[in-house]
Amino acid sequence: MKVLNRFSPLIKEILIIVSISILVALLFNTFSGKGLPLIRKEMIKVQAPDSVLFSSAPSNIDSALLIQPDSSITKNIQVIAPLHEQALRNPASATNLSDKTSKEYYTVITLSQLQRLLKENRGLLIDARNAEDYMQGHIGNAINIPALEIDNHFSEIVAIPRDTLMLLYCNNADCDLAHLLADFLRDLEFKKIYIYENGWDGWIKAGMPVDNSKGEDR
Amino acid sequence: MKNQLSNRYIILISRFVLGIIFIIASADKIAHPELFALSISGYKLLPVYLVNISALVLPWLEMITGIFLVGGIFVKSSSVIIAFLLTVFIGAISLAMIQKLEIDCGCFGAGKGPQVGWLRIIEDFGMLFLSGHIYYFSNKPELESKI
Repeated sequence: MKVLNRFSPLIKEILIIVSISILVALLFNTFSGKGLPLIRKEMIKVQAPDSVLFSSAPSNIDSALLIQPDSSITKNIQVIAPLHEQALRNPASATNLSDKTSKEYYTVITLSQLQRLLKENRGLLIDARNAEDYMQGHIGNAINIPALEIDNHFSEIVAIPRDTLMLLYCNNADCDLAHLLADFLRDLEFKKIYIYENGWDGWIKAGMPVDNSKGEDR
Repeated sequence: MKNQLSNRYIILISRFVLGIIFIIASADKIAHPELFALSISGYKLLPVYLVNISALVLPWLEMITGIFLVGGIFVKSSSVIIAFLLTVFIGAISLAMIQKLEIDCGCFGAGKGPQVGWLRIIEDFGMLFLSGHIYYFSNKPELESKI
């Protein structure tokens, strides 16, 4: 008890400081304009099925020829994930989607899917790491949009058609840069965002060819 | 040695060094809470629902204790909080290293900080020493002296 008495002013002070910090943090978060939701949403990863990725719906087909998706299925569904309209016509995939709209989720692709997409020259490959890492080596044809400097690349990004296949990667699955960039692109209403999660490390591990050119942003 | 450590100017230097480090370290995290939240989630220690609230409160705790150390307010208790934070950081960085996570440490600013590694742990131990020094040789808690 004596010990407690001796320390109680200290504990009171600590409680005061912690309370002030919490109060200031909450106030700042409310009024700063960049506030975070207090409870973070769970991040869900969805593996992109080949059928969605490679379903060949050539863009030059007259859209009037395509059957419109059943509106009873698509109603109330916010399509965040890149889904082909064809896939939306499948009621099962639409049901899956509706469960996920309440949480943040990302569609990930495997190495072989990425390779095939690159080989077929579909999509825009974006390296979300910082410029220094990009200079040291990147996947061929990738452009560099560092996720931490998105603002500097805003004009480039808004010029990209929204239905472009956006293929993102950073270092590895522990790296959040690609997810950060994906969030940003999603806010800009890009429809087809895919993350190659194993990223640069996975690419190197698989012994894939590396582009060491200091390729400027194109 | 003890005389030197208890010299009031030496304590003042310790307070300023540690306080300024904490103020600088917190400023960027306060400016970019979303990036700091990413840094925290990279450690994979906290459940998802605690990540954002930690990313919001931790930097302000660092900022306010830093300001108090520099300003000479609640010095003893600020040093206790800082020592506690540093212990948590050392633990978190060690666990990240054990799991071989290649993540940014998020130590001095969100996202763009250096990677976790031995150097970060050594830095934190250095600061832990400073906070211990301040705790042992600073005056009694203000609340106590007023009573």
